[in-house]
Amino acid sequence: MNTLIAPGDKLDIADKENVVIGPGVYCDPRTQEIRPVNAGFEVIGSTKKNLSIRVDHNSKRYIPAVGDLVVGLITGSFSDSYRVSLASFSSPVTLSYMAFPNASKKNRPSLKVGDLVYARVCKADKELEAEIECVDSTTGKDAGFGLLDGGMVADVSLAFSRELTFNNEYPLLTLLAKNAQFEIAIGINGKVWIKCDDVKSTLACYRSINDCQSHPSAEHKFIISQHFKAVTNSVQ
Amino acid sequence: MTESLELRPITFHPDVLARIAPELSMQRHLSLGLRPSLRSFEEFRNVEISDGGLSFASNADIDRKGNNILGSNVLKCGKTMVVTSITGGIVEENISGSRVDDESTESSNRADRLSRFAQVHPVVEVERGRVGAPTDEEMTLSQRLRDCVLHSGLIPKKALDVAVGIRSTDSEGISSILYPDEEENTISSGLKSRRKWSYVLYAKIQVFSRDGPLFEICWNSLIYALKTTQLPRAFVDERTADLKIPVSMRGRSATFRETFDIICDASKFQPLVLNEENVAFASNFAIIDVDPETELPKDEDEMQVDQGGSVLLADIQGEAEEASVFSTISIISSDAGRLKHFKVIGGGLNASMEHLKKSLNLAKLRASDLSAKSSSGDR
Amino acid sequence: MISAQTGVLDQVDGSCKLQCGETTVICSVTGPIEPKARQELPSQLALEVVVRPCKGVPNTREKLLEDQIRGVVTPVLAKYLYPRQLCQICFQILESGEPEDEYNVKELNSCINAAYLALIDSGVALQSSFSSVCVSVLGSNNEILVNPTQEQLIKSDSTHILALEVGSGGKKIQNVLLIESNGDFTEEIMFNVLSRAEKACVEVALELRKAVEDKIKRDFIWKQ
Repeated sequence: MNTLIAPGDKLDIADKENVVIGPGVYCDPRTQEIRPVNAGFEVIGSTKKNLSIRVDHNSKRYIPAVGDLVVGLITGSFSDSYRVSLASFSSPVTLSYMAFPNASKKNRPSLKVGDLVYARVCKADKELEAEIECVDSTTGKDAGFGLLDGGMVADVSLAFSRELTFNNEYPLLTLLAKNAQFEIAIGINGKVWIKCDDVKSTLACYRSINDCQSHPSAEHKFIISQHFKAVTNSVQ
Repeated sequence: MTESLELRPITFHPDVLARIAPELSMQRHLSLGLRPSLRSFEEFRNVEISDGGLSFASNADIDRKGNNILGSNVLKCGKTMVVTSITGGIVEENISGSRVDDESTESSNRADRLSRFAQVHPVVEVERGRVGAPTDEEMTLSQRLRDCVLHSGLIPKKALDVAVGIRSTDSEGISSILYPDEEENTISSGLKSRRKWSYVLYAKIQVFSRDGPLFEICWNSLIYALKTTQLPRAFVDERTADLKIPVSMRGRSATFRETFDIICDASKFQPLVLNEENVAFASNFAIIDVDPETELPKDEDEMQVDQGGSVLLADIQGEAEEASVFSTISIISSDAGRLKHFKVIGGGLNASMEHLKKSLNLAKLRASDLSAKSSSGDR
Repeated sequence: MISAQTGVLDQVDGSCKLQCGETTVICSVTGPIEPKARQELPSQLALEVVVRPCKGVPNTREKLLEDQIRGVVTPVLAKYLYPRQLCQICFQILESGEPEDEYNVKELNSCINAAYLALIDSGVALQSSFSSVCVSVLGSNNEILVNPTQEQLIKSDSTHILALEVGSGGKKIQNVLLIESNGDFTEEIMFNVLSRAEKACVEVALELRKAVEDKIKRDFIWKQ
């Protein structure tokens, strides 16, 4: 079992050599001291070469990191880029017109303000504005990013959205799939876009996801069936 | 073919370095055993005080009319100048029927400490060449000064009670003013028991050329100003003292009691009586880590003085000190060593007990120094 | 003595409702967010503190409280992790528990503790944990009272507040963040108060840690 840790605690590592620090761990630039800065579970992993350490914690506000798949909202468009919001009131990120498949000077993408977009973070320096892309920049090909049309967005906590993305065994999506057919785009920024063939199922999925994050997974099956029952029984 | 690349160290004038790298400049000075102001670590700045001749009581030659300043002080500390002027007003206190002239209830209620003490209402203005809404610094300063005056118990509430005199005109048309505490108590006690007035004190504190933390110099200036404060005597006309106007309106009759017209006596005044044992003066200190790495390279034969750890600096001054110091201590202490206010804002480092004790001692010395100044200023 | 609940507000990143004796305060943390141009600091996180009183509109008293809270929180934040960003901490006093005209120690004490829990809840990086305690000295034999009631407070000769940075699971004191004393006291009393308050502060830190552990367990409830 991972141990609970809070800011100011001692990390459970012996030496400072070859330590890779992850989220929730901070290296003081002056003293070179490594310490936890968030409250959560201490996770220590090791490979042949080095030790990795991070604090698994839950929060609501997303801070961009390279490689993250995110769901963003277009809030403005300029001559060569869009301005995209990943979390309300956070600094906006840019989405260049050239970061689309088959992009050229003449070929402008057709996103409008208010559209949702599924993208990947390609630049995230804390001093600079982060950038996202809708294309696999290594191959230059379409990689399933782009406009999310219709559907609904559920706001979930960041740890929950990570679980949905990275844990393939997590049963929530399988349970949902038993009740309805859906398209889903999970943003690491705590936004889960979901779309079914009909509005009722979309609504049921949305409510289920919202509810499930505050209940143990054993209850998820029951919660989902309740929500689907509620929408099918409702009056037309 | 390769061009040689020359790296030249850039040198800055001390003033420029202090501006662009205050921390470095500070550490360089500290390593020499000095501060940017060229004072030694535990040296205070000199303070010059005068009452500035602003108050109505300070100079009889000046026309007293229109001057509503009751006490004043001009304090100069380094580049900074603080002008404090005390003004006042008279308010009528609410007396509930049961409490009329009952001194005993007040004294039995002594357990409630702050009810025995009065406050002043300070407004601090840090002049910065433009007008506008008060800054956060000005607001917090004013509030802290108010809180400290109240909590230190400097002004007893009784000192602000107005002993109202009565102007009576005798049959020959010569008016005279009788005060209850001056002459034999000839005034009808009827007036005294029904109504009670007290003074309210306001302090306007103007700061010119801010150069470091202000709370302490504002406090000291305020204390000096309060020490010079003279309260004008006030009286009511005998005829208005017990005036009733019967009014009847639409069949209903009522009696209006005329509000007393309280008049300030321009020629007579009394000093504001302070709780002498609670008069205290403020001083501030900083604790700063000495970073051995920033020391200038020394000659090899020179003794390497180990100065690691932290040092205590008295009387913070200047941008460099203010910006690079994270721990400040602010103390209001009387010369006898009674503490009235003590504040440590930590942060960068641990305020060790040693430093605290040392700063308390220095604060005490400083307080006796400053209080000696005020008594010599009185003469 | 302290009862606290985190995550009470939906629309902010971190929140906490904390009751300490007669005083209740609710605290919210939003950040890191985009600052207004005048708040922006080029290399570090800017901090905005807002205190709303339990009755009436905010005035200079609340400004002073804000200043004191800022002094405690600023050194603890890992500011350089979020350059050009803003962290906003808001407090709403629900119950003051003291005569507001004359005192602010109980509110300040509750605000500091609530700020810690709300910051933890928000996930804004903190360099260490902190806690605070308020103490008053009563009577001729200088009785030291930790977290005095309103009645005890107004009879006290002096009031003190101590905020400490505590590490290693609330066992080790790392740093003094704030000491503020008002009233009439001597050096000896003050050092007695400090050593008593230090112990009380560690106790508070342990209580706050329990609230943090509860929060973490609730955060990962969907894992069970």
